[in-house]
Amino acid sequence: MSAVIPVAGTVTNLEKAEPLLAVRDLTIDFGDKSIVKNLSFAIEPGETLAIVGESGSGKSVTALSLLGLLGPRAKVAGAIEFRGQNLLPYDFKRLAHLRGNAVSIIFQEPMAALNPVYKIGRQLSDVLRNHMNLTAVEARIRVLELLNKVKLPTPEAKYDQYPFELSGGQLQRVMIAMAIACRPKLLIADEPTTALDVTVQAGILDLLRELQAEMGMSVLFITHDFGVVADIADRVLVMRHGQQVETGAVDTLFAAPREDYTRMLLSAVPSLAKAGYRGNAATDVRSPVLQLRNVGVSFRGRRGHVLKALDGIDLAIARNEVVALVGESGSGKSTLGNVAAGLIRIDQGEVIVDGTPRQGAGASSGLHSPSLHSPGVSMVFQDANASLNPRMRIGATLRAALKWGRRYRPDLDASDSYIRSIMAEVGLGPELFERFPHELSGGQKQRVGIARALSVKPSLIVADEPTSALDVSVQKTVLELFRKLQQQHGFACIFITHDLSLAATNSNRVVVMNKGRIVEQGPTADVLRHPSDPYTRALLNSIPLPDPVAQRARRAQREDAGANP
Amino acid sequence: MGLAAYCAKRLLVGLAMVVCVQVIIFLAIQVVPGDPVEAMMSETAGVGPEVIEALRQQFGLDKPIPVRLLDHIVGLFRLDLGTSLQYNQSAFAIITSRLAVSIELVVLAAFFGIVGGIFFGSLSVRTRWGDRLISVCGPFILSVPGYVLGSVLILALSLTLGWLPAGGMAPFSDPLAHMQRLVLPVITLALPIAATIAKVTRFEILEVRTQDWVRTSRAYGFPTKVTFRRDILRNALTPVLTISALELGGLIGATVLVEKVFNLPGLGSLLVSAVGIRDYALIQGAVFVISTFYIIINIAADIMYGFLDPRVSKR
Amino acid sequence: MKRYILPLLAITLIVFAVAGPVLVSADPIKQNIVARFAPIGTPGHLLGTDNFGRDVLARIAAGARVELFTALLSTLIALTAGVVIGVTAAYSQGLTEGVLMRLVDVMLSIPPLILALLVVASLGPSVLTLIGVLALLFTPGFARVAYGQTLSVRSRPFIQAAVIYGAPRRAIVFGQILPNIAAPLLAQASLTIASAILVGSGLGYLGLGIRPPMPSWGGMVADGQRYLGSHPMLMIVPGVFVVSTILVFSVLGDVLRTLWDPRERGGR
Repeated sequence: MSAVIPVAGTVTNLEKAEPLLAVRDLTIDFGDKSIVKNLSFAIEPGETLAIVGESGSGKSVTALSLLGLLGPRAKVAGAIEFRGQNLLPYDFKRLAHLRGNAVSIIFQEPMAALNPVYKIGRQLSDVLRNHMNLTAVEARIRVLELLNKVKLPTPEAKYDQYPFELSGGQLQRVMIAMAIACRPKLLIADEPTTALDVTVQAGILDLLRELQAEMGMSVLFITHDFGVVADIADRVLVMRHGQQVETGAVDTLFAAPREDYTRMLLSAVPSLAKAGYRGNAATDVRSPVLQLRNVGVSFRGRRGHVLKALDGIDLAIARNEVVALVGESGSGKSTLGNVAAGLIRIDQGEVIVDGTPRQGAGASSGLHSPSLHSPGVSMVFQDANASLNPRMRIGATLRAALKWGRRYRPDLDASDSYIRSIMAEVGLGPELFERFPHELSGGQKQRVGIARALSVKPSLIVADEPTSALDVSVQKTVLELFRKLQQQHGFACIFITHDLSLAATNSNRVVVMNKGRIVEQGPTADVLRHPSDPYTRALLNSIPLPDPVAQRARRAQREDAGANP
Repeated sequence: MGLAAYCAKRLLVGLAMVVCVQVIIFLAIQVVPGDPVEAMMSETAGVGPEVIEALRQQFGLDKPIPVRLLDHIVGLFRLDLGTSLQYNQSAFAIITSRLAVSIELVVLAAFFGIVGGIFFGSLSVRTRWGDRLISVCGPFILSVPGYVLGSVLILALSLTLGWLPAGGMAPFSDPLAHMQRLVLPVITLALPIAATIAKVTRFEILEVRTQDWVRTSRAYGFPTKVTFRRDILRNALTPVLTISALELGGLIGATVLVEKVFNLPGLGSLLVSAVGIRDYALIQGAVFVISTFYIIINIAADIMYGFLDPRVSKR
Repeated sequence: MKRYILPLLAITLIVFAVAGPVLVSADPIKQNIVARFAPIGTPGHLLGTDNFGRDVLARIAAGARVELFTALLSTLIALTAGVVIGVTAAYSQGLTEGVLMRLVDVMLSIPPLILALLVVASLGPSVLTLIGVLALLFTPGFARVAYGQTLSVRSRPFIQAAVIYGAPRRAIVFGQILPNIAAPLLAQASLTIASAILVGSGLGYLGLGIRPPMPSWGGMVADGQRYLGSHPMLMIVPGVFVVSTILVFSVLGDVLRTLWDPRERGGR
């Protein structure tokens, strides 16, 4: 093997000083499947490198391989040099000294990454005492310092709480406290904000930047989100199929991507700044498809605790109109979607579909029941896979929906030729008719969901985060299809999403929800350009812009505002 | 909800359970066609109807069923389980005299079974031969009924090799003879428990091992042993505990068989002979004691579960 | 090939139970004092004779019929009753759910063999009682599995989809829920057959199963135990049949469960 393989674009930078971490010709195989091929990169002290790619690109596997966390099935070859020492082949005694000490890591699901049966304080002090010689009392003091440092509210109380008593954002702060406990030189962050809401994500990213500046550590940031990349990275490495596509400084890569794949990814990223807003729909507001009047839904929790999932909702959806419901988790947007689809009984108010009040509304029960059925409303689910009966072929799934629909509307056509024509319309080949769901890709399954929703000739489709489980490139094509179908068939649509930039390009009207209430609604362009409600503004400001220059400007502005309130 | 409230709630549910079970037992026995006195007397020739009537009054069988049920439940709280027709003695006294042997068997078998099961279950994950042992011997042991296993052990270790006595019981005053006579019955009872617990422990460990927090533990440089004890075994034990409590139900049933195989004077053999001659007070009493014991064990397991898994008791 | 061995063995056992008495010409209850304790391999008595000179093979075959017949029938009854209870409870929720599942809890809080003894005590030993007892014993187990499975399937989006597209209740239960909970129930059924043989033969051993002189495997072991010192084969032969039958059905159940469980298949 020759000396250093030059990494394209940063040759001069690299050769000056010895990098903190240098990875050369990293190749990772699982059995006879090659997950990472000849990957080389380096991280300088104090630098943030973001590895970005779609699912299956091998980015997380790369991150885990640095600490030897892939398990015995993985064959790792090449060189991983940390401060000049090659970690390959793994020497687990030496790695144990490095792990959590000079190199630490945080994960995607903070709730799953902490052991549910130990208190927060115990888990942190265990980490401290594993690498340092501390008494229990000293460890406790250090832990409380750390919890303060990651800005966890009421650290003394949190010390004695269990992971399930904290929120996702708080737990990620605890994980960060654990990661910085031994003042690492390198922090590996494996999609640390993917499972979090945007406002929470913004807080975590701020914290990471602050800690990095203060402690001078390097960060390897794994993500699929170009907004996050623009916000946090100094340099970017784009991966696909286990290989490097291109790498470079964040500004140059965003401004002038050299590779087609990078260009394609960047163009698929939904962006508020570049959004082509849709105008108002040509529609008749006097006879709405769906009308909700003062609708309330509560769930009974344990110990008689009542949670108001929806409170005083007034909403009308007109024909041919796409209304985006946006909000963070727990805002009630999905509950509202389920009410519209007839999956949940309401406790209060009334639901009118196509001019007729829905049967069964008003009865208080969280139970779904066929008596709530409204012909004319159909739904596209977030988890396309789970929305298809695993034991039914695609054709049979579509036929079943039509046959059930014929009980209410005998004019529906349930013949195979009609089903095949609908499949063709959503871009599914006729050969898929006899396939089972598990034989289809994620994007194909969602197309089946769309075909099913479309086949019953609905007046309203509820689309609940239909693309959030898909990669950006697939998301783009599915949304384009959906938009085309909506314009052709003219059904009204409730489009539920947590992503404001998707709402921007895909809706006529936006309804912003928070804590079970509607905080703001209006034409999409108006609301997103000139938000009047403080919550909407906070939400808009938290979305990292997929443009490093603009994002830097906004961050500076936010920090100024923070400095002189 | 705190742990204390959780415990109190479990205890109340347990008490309700005891009463429900008792009602079921009562109904199962009393509300069948024909009555016990007739059933008993039909075997004895030449008993006049007036004798039967007198006996019925003596045992309170002439009163309507709800009254008898109430009397019965009230009696339970005064530890009055009725009078045995067969021995003409307080059923409670007879049962307590037989209790010691059965409890000894159950406790010893449960202890060795659970501890051995957890040990071999953990071993099977960490070593290849342990894995073989569990996957080959486990299903086999579980398919041998207690009465067959007991008979085989007697044949091999008592009759052929002459190492241990074949059956019967010796009093506590002769500890060596007492222990010798317990060895085979306890092995017979503990083996299937150990096999089940080992299987469950193994399954749970494999399950927990894939959890994210185990990866975290490795990623923060904890020694393998610490990760195994702190983050794998500890979490795997919670479901093992639940299964252990359930297994005790099977263990209590197996005790009945094993007491017969080894000819031990326990509660199980008492129950079997009582069923054979339909001594209802004795049957009711023995089933009551056994099911109450089982319910208590299950409550204890639930409460321990609350300690082991904070998510259960803290919500 | 290997995957067919267990089902084949199970079928062989069932065929043996059905056709055994036809294949073995000897009468299982005919005593013959002259030919007592004939050893294994005696012409005309392949597995020897017992203390009354009865043909052991004939008794094994007749016993197989009893043990398997009671086990299969009671499992079928318990499966049906358990599925009805479990699915109803999970699908209806509310009061029905509470009452049904508490009832199941109470049933489960009596140790199985003890419950069996109780019922035998009140109804007297017979084949019908045996089937009833075993069915009663295993119904709560099926109810639990059916309940848990239905609950987890019920909340999945494809059921919600069926509701939205107007599926009637019947179509949801029979067309959507049952096919998706059938596999774990089938595995449970196979394990239950094994348990039913275990408990049933145990009752036979205690003399509380089927009335003598009708042979049962458990009863044969009990009889054989009395001659353990002199003629151990009288215990060992029926013992081997009990053990291997239980083994076949329980391993079959485990295999079925593994096939169904995606975690074990390495799917996720």
